[in-house]
Amino acid sequence: MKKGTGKISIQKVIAVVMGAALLAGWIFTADRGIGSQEKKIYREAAEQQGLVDKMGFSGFRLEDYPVAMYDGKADYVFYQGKIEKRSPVLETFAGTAYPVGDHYEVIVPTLERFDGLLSLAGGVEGMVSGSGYGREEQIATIWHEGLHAWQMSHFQILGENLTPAEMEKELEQSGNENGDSEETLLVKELDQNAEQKKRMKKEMQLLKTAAEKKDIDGMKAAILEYREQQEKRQENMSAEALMAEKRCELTEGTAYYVEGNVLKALRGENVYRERYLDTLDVFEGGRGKFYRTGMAKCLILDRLEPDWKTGLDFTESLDELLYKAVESTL
Amino acid sequence: MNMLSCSNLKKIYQKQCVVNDLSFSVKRGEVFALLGSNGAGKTTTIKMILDLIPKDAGNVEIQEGIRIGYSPETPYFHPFLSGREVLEFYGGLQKIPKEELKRQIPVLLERTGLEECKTKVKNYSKGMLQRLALAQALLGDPEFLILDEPSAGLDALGRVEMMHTIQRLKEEGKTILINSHILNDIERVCDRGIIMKKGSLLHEWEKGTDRRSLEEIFVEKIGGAKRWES
Amino acid sequence: MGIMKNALLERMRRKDIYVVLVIGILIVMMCMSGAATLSIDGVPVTEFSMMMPMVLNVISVIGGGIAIALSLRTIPNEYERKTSHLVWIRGISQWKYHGQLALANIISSLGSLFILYAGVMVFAGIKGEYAVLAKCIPAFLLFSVSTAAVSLFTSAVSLVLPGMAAGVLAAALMLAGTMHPILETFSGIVSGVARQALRGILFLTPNLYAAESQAGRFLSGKSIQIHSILGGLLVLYICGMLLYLFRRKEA
Repeated sequence: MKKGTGKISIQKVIAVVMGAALLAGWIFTADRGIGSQEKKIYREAAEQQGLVDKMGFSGFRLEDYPVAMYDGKADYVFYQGKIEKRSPVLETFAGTAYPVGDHYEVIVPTLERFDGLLSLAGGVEGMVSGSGYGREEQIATIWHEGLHAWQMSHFQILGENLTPAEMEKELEQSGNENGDSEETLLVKELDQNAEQKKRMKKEMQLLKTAAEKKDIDGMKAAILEYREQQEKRQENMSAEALMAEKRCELTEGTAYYVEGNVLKALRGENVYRERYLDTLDVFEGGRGKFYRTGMAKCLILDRLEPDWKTGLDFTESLDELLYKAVESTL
Repeated sequence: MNMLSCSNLKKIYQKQCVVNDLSFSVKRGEVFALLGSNGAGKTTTIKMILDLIPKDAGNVEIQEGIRIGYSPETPYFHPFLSGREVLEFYGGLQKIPKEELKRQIPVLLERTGLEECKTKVKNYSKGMLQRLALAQALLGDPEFLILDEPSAGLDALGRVEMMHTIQRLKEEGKTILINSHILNDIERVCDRGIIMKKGSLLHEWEKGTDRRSLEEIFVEKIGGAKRWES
Repeated sequence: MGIMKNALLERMRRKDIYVVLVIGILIVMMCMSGAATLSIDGVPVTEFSMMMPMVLNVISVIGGGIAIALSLRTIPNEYERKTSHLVWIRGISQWKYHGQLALANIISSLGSLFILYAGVMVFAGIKGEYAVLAKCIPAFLLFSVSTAAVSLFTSAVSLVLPGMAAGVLAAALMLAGTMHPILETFSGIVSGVARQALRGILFLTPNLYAAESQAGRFLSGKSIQIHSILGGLLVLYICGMLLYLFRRKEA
C-alpha cells in the first residue's frame, strides 16, 4: 500500500477548497427571514379588506391584528407595515387566534408547513399527492382567524368575555381541568349517541335544503321544519353541551362564512360551491359540524335579513337571530 | 545484498501472539522458504511483509524500486471474469501498457499451464486458480516473488510443473519467498529457510549445511510425529 | 478507472439487479396509470402537472432503495472474498480503491434511477407536454443528487459497519431525508420527548427532499432554489469525505 509522504497534495487542497466553497455558498444562499411567498400571501390577504367590508362586519379590519407566520423555528409577525421575527409563541402547526400579551393575534403556519400538515392528515394518499392547500386557501384561513381575533377582542361571546391575559391563563390550564372540553362534550352527546347523531344529520340536510331554497317562503317553511327537528334533539342535551354548540356555531360559523367568501373571490364560484356549499350537510365529528351549520345559517340570514351583520354583537346565538328573522317576516 | 529484511516482527490477534519477535532476511536471487505446521504464523508473516495487515511491532525493509509479485494462499478472483480478463484487470492496475499486456498474457497463461479459454473463474478448479494466481503474480516481470502455498490444490503432475516453474524463475535471477508444506519440493528448489512454531523462529536452515534431510530436521524441531515402523 | 469498470461489469453480469429494476418500473407504471388513482379534495389527479410531483416522489423513494441495495455489498464483498489483497499489493490507495467502487455504485444507482425516471419522460410525451420533455435531462441532473448521496453514504458506512447495520442506517437516512418536510410537520404536532427526538433526527439527517424537489420545480417552470441544490451537493461532498476518512486496517 502506498504510504503518505506527509506532504499536502494539490488534490487535497482542491478538495478542501471545494468543500469550503460549497459550505459558503450554502450558507450564503439560505433564506434570511420569512420567504417572499409568505410576504406575498400577507399582502394579498390585506388586499381583500374591501371585499370583507362589503360582507358587513362593521369594524372588522385585518390590519388591526398582528398576523404571525410560524415556520417551525420562529414566528414572523406582520403588523403595521413591519415584519418582526420572534421566538414562537405557539410551537405547533395550527391556524388560530391566540392571546399574546394584551391583544389577540392571528397565528398560522407558513404555507409549506400547513400544506404538509394537511397532507399528513390525508394519510398516504395525502402525503403522496399533497393536500391541494395553496396560497388562496392560506389567505382565506388568515381571514378566518382574523375574524376570531376580532370577536375575542371586542365582544362578549354569548355573555362570556375574557381578556387576552385571562384567555392565555385558561389555555395554559386547560390540560389540568377536571371537566370535559367542548369537543369532548359534543362528541359524547352527539357523535357517540346513535339516535342524536341521526337527528343531527337530518337537521343538517334540512338546513342545507333551506339555504338552497330560491324563494323566501320556501326557505322559511324549511327553517320551521328544521327548528322542530332541532328542538327534539336539543331536549336530550345537557346545558353545557348546548352552550358549546351555540358558541361554536356563532364563532366558527361566522368565521367559516368569511373564509368561504374570501376563497370564492380568489378561486371562483365553482371551487366555493364544491368546497363549502355542497358540503353544508357533511357530518363532521365534534365541533366541525357546527362550522357548516353556522355558515348555512349565515347564508340564510343574508337572504332573510341582509343587514344582520351590521349590528352583530355576538350576544345572541345564530338560532336566536335566525328565528327572529323568520318570525319578523312571517 | 538483502532483498528483504524483517526484524522483530510481532502480531497479536485477540490477545494471542501469532508472530513473536521474528527476524530473518532474504538475499537477492535466492529462494527462501517459510516452514512450519498449521498456525505457525507463516501466512501472517507474509501479510505483514506485504502490508496487508498492520504489524504490532517490528520492521520490514524491502529493497527500493523493485517490483513484487504475490500469489496468495487461497486465490480469490472476480468470479465473473475469465482468466485473460483477470490478467488484463490486474495488469491495468499495475499500469502495464496495453500492447505490452497483450504480449505478456498469452506467455503467462502458457507458462503456468493455463489454456486460453473463455471459461469464467467461478468455474475454475482449485488447481487452475493456483496457476492463475501465479500468472498474475508474474505480471510486469517482478524481481521479487512471494508465493504462499503455490502447490496447494495441484495434482502430482501439477506440483512437479510448479516446482519446475519456480526453478526456472530462480534461474532467471528472481528472488522468491515461498511458503509451503511440501518439504520434498522445498528441499529441491529452496536455498535457505526458517522453521516456525507458534509464531517464533525455531530453526534456520540452509541447503547443504546439514547432512540430515529437511524432513528429519523438521520432525525433530516441530516434534510429535511418529515414525511408521514396519 | 479499471476498478470502477470491473465493478460495473460485475453488476451487469449479475441478474438480481434486473429483477429489482422490473419491480421498480412496475410500481412507477402503476402510479401513472389508472390502477392507482389519487385524488386531491375528491378530484382525481390526472393532469400531468399534478401527477408529476407525485410520480417523482415515488421514484425518488424507490430509486433510493435500489441505490442502497446496489451499494451495500460492493465494498464488503471485495474484502470478504479477498480480491482486495491483490489490489492493495499493487500500491492502489484505499481512497482510490474505495472511491472507484463507490463511483461504480453511484453510476449503477443513477442508471437505475434514470430507467425509472424515463417513465416520467414517456408520460410527458404521451400527455403532449413537449416543453417539459425538453427539460427532462437537466431536471434529471437535479433529481439525481440525493440518490447519488444515498449511494455514496451507503458505500462509506459499509466500510465500517456490518451489513445489516449499514443497510438500516442508510435506509433510515434515505427515508428521513426524503420525508424531511413531513417530519418537520410532525415535530410541530407532537410535544415533549417525541418532539425532541424528531428534532434530533431532523438535525442529524440532510434534507434530501429539498434537493430532489428542485427537479419538479424546474419541470413545472417554477424558479429553482439554489440553496437546496447546494445543500444536496454539500451532502454529497460530506459523504465523499466519510468515504475518504473511513479506512480498513486490514486487506
